[in-house]
Amino acid sequence: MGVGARAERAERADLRMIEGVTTAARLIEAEGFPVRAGLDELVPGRRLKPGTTLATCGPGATSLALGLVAEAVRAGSFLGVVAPDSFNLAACIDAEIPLRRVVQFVLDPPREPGWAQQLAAVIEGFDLVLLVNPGPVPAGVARRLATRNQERGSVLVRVGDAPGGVQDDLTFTIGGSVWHGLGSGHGHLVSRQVNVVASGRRHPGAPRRHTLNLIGPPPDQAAVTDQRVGADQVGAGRYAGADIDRILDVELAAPVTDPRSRRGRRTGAGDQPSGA
Amino acid sequence: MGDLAVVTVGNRVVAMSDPARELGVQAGLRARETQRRAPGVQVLAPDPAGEAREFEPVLRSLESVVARIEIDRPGRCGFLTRGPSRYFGGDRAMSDRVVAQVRPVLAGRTHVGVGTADSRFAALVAAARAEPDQAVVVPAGASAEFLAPLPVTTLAMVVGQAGAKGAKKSGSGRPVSGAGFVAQVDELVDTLGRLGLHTLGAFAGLGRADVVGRFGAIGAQLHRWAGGRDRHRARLESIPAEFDVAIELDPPIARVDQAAFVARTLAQEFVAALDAAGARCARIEIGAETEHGEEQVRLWRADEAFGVAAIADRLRWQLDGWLAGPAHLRPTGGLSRLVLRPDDLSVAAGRQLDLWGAETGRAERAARSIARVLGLAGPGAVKVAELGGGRNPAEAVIAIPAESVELVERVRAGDRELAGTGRADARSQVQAGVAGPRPAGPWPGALPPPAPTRVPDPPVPIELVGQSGQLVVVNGRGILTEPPAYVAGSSSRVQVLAWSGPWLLDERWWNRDRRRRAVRIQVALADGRAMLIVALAGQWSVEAIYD
Repeated sequence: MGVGARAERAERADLRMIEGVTTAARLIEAEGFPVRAGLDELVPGRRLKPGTTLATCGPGATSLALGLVAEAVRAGSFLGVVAPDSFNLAACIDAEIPLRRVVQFVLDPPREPGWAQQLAAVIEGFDLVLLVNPGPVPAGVARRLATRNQERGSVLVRVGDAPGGVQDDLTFTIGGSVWHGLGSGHGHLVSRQVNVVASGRRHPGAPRRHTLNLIGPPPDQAAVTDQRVGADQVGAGRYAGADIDRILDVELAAPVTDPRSRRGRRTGAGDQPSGA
Repeated sequence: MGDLAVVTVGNRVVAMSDPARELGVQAGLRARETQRRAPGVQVLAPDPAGEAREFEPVLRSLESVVARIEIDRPGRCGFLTRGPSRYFGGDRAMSDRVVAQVRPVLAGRTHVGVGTADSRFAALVAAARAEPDQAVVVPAGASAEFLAPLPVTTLAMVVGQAGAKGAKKSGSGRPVSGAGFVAQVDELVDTLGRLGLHTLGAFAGLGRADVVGRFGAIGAQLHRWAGGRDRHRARLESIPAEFDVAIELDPPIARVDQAAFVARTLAQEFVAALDAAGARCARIEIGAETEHGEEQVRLWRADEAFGVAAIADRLRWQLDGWLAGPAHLRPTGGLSRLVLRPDDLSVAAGRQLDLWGAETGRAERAARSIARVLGLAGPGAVKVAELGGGRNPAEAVIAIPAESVELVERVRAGDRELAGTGRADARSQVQAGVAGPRPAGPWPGALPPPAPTRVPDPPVPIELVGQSGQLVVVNGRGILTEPPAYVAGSSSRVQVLAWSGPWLLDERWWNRDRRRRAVRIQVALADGRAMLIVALAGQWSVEAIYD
């Protein structure tokens, strides 16, 4: 197998030597990762530049982050999701992300000394890394990781409002979120529209406000559209319901003491002993 | 068997008769050493067709006790034991039952060994080490312990024996199809010995990241074997019938050599169809039917993907066992139909060079990174998604620990899948492991899309308050006492703007211990989020969050 791989690599190197031939890796280097239509207007140049650090916060931050990277995963990149156990990988299906290229990492909390090393290992191997509700990250560690990320040429997306750390290249703040399809006692969640404010170091000009269709079909196609929810009650930045947020965040960003205790909680179903 | 005889493959003993065993002949011995220990011994070449003929009555007998027997090669088969064990009252009782079932068929000509374990490899080793006509049961969870003291050469022995199945095909005694795999295992075992790792336990004790880094995919696979972690999974997804290959034989065929000729063409067609779809198959169902409607279906498995020759061999062996087997098991008419059906599909991870070269590089890099994180953060830290099925948000996609799957293989597989480029047909979905945009299956009451992004486990307790300020309760008829107006935490509350439900869920009513009755409602909150709230035993809690 060693020989085969070497030959393959040599062959690949030859390919690169030919003038006018561009490898996919170099194409990404030059142009960045593609972003799905509808969300691409959020990003300068309509592509995610390798080595950038993004942040999404507000209600719908997770869906927005998944939406931003979806097209790049479909184009062949791997997605590493650093998230607590409670992260639901099924959400990737809604963002049309092929599950085979998604790997979830359940790491120690950021204040543990091992965290930075583990995250660096993830960045090393994955073009796209989602950091879901990491909790507070020490500023020094965040800066080091951003540098690591820049060298490696990955895109690091931080989800949720984790205060502190370094300034992100691009920050997407969801100001308002509107669900469609739910009535009072009937219907079900179908689609969601959000107001996103994009700002940050890499963002040219003043922060811009966009209204996007984040989940599901555009609202006029939704079967039941009774109520427009939320848009007015919510200001930019942190949103209401902080207490519930806190309740949930206690669980979601739970200080994980012993990784062994969580091992394979939902895995028993398919295992069967075998006999011969 | 009264003769002093051994069967050798590539100058090594793979099987021996009782008298030879009594003289100290063991599997793996060189021919010369064998002759020294047992002078005058008869040295025989393997005869898989003959073995298949002898094995057929065993399979017939076993089929009356257990279902879905997978045949490795003539003379060795396995099956999932959870069902049979429960039926017969435990692994021990089931194993003894299997011995009792097989022994009369063998009628003293040779012996049966039965091994039961929660890892396939451990079960094979246990069976090989069982005393004649005895069963070895490795308790659940003890596979690693059982394997630990055994020499690393056990790996090569089990694989080598499996490899002996096609030995007739090549002069060196290695089967043509499995040569690469067997040779790689031999080489790895050899290297381990020279590294001073003499037992499976020592090998299993190495860090997973180190093994993958040094030995690659095959190292990872054998490492899992050595640690007793090669679980057998029940197949959950259904395989589309489009890969089935069948042929009607008119006039019917009665002779094995004629059938073998047809078998080859059929196998070629089968492999070509899989190749075209970029899939591979390591378990195949071969069905044969006679003009009088008799049917014989057998399941064959291999350690790696089936090639044309391997399939043709198995088809021939199977028909040999049936058409030329014991008279009372023979069919009454000629063969009128043959069917090949894949029983297990995965993405072909061939060494085909991608047009732009970068794809495979990405996959390998991801695999290395996963192995490294596993080394740093410990087992359970890395998970990959597998489609499940169920009504609850946590069940639609199951996150399984990366160490329990063929990691490098899977990542490569993901790499080769061409998503979103107009290949959304059934075949590419099978390859992608994503059948349709979301898991199919009969789950009435399952949540409609979109899927929630977070599923706290266990659910977070919460209170549901009505406009009147009273707690909202579900009555015995599944009706809310009043529409919910607020979702309340310990000190503050958020307004409910829209809601739906209550949806009743009564799961597993047939099982008193695992029964689950719940009421769900979906709410959209004033802060812009939506949640799935569930009432279990009078307590509302957040089951899922749509973020």
